[in-house]
Amino acid sequence: MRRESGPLELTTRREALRNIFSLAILPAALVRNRWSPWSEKVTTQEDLKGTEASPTGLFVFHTDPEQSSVVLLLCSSTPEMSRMRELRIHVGPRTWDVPFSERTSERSEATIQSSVSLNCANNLFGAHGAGVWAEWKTTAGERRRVGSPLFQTLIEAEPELAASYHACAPADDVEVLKKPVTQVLARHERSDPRVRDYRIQRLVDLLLPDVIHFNPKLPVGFTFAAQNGCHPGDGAREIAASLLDRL
Amino acid sequence: MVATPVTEPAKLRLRCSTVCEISVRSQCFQPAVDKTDLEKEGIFMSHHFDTKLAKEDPSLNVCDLYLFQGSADRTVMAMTVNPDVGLSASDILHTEGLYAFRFDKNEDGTEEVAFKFRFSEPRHADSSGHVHVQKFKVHHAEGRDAKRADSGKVVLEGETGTISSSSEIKAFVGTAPDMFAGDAVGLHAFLAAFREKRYDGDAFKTSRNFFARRNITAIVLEVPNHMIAKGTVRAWATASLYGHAPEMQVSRWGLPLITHIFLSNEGDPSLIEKFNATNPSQDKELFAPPISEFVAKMTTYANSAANPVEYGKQVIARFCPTTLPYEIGTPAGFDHAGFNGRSLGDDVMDVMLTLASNKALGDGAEPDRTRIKQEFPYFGDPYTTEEQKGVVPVPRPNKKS
Repeated sequence: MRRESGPLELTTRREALRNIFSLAILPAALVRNRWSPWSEKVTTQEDLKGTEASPTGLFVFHTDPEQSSVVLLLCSSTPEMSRMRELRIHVGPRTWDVPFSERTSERSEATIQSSVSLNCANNLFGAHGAGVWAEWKTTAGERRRVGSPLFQTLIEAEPELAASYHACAPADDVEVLKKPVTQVLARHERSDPRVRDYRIQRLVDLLLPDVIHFNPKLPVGFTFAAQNGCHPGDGAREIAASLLDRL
Repeated sequence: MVATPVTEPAKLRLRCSTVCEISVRSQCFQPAVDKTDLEKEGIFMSHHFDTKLAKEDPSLNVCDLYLFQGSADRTVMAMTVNPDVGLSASDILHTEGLYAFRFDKNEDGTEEVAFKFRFSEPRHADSSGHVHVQKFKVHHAEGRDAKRADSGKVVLEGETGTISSSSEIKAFVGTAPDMFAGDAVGLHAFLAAFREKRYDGDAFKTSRNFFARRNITAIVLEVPNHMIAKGTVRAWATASLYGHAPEMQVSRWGLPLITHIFLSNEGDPSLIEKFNATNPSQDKELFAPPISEFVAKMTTYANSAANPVEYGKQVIARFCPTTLPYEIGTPAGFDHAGFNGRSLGDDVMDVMLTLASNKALGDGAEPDRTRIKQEFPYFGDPYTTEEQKGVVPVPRPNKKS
């Protein structure tokens, strides 16, 4: 599974991610089809070279607007990926378990990205779209999960909230996280006191449950105009930070 | 006055002697000034000086619309006209003008509820001759009447310059501070760069609020929520001419800066005229293509969207129909997280620049929130002559341009 670094000597994170994606969807020799009841394909890649580290992120976008989409998990580093156990990808009510049995043990310090991609038909997302998220355990036994860039941005500087977040699932998010999320937002909210609570409530509604909602029938992208899926080239972290900051 | 069918805007405007008289009077507000380069080029914002007729008669120029929660169980709607009133525009409302707040309850792009203002002949309020008073009537129309000129039930009568109220309704029409804020110089440079196929986020470095310390005529109405609707409505405001001929819509406002930014592509003025003359039900057909094209180009130049065409589609899903969504009975907010009405202090320019470029872009100019009052009419006192010292009057655009 080791890739040559030649074509991936990149200058920007965005370009790196685009190239990673282009490799991630290369089928044939790279694809390890774990099981495919609906002919979905799960692909893992390791040791892709880039120029800067980034948090583990989840992306969902269509590869063909009419037919197929991809769920892509980009790990923050190969070491991060190597610590993953029991990775499970959720699309609506369906789940995929991604085993990591065939792994290379030695990795260069220069490698920063590894990916897991799930290629699937658009009808998997149903008539009105579906929520996508992923969870795994680390080798230390800690549970981790990832969903929308909005929530990932919110918890970056909030370790207590992050701990609560990783311990639950989207189905429990509103019940478990609504109060602590409201408290975190209230600390940062600068708007007029008359509208403050309502604006916080609107953002809580946007944040919870924490999934990437994706409807392949609608225009795709995590942007300032809408958040439908998320492409590695969207610059989602920056947009999420701005949305949270400028509420 | 002769009741003849009129098809051309300019003729309609001039056929009433009263209107002509008002136009002449308004000249006293136009001191000779040196035009800045910006002003020479006619660069203004929000929807200030949008159409040919609105340029000629600022009383028909709907500059902005605000929609927010008022006192208990009440909603406030406000439109502004007469940009730069007191310095370069008269405070008079057009006697053949029909000023309407329109509400779409079922997302079909047409109104089911409307509140319409009609104004009588002006009279001088003081010996200076610069301040005028006009009587007005407020019509409340529902169903088909909402679309029919000034039909509907008269629910309030009042006079400009003072708060008028009945048991349920309050209205104020008068001079007020312009709550819109924007760096017009920056926008001009930003759009000039766009025409050169460049993105220039540094265009707003000056952060000069062109609208600072300028006044406007505000038409403010507060009504019980039940007179509008339950749930979410989509609102817009219009100014039309109506009297001797069938209603002719002169200007329309549904979202900020639609014409000045999103329909400015390649400077086709007919697009803006068409926007102002049409209704939201036609927006998708007529304006979605140029808006999405503009956004796709802008994000391509800015390298800010993974797929500029898809981003263009996302923007038109927000913008078409071009109406202001608002959940009745909730605090208003026009911000990056979404549109829910618009309060007087919302910095809409930053939001629209951000949506245009898909970058966190701001112009550095902010509304003067110290001018907001907590009670009706919510607009604070207008800027005084003393406060406006140094503010250059906006020269009226040439009528023949």
